[in-house]
Amino acid sequence: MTPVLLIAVLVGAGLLTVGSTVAAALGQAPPRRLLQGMLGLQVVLLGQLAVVGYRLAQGVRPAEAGAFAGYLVLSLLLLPGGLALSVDEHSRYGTLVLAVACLTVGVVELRMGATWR
Amino acid sequence: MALSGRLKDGPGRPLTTVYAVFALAASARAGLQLATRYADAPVAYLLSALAAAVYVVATLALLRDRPRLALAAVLVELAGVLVVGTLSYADRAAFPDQTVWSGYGSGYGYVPLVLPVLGLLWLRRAARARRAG
Repeated sequence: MTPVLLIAVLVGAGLLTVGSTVAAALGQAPPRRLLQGMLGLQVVLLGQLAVVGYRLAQGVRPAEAGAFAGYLVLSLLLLPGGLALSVDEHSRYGTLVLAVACLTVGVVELRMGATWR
Repeated sequence: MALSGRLKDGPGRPLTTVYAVFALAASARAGLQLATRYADAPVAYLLSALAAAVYVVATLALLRDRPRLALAAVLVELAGVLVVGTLSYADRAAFPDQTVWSGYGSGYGYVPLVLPVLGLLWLRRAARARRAG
């Protein structure tokens, strides 16, 4: 975990949550730009996984290792899972599914930060 | 837009997503608690496991369009959050550690309290759509 990645994930997840909530309120199915943003956020999350692996290899240990590992796995599953659940729902409700997934990524990231320290 | 009456369609899709998130999170939390600290707070951790099971059943019932099973799971969930929430304030000694339902779900932004209410409203609306269709 690094503060830069933590902030990048929180900002990305926050922007995508707001964007998808607005799109859902306007009655739009998931817009292409939102899906591209989610892909970018997933890349950042994978980068975070690599950084965590590197820090663990250096001997750094999270304060609550079990909980941190659970949140780390969950953070990687949320966006693909949200996309899978929304893929055949071509309405505002499909977009709302993505809003839930992005919001949850932000919450999980906060918990990861708390359990790492 | 007319509702199909299927539980995972329309508004049911984001609802199912929230249930799936809680199923994952509660299962992981309960598994960790039972595996590493069961003796510290057995009642709380067994209730965590019960909550996880209820969220898993509710998620599967919504995804597989099983209205009666979904209703049963959501009613158990509502009863659980009300009873455990009340007990966690009335008998703090029995709950030295948090469950998903402690404090009426205060540790999760009270989503565990709101979720079964939304679930019941959605199940009623979907049942009406099925009868009309």
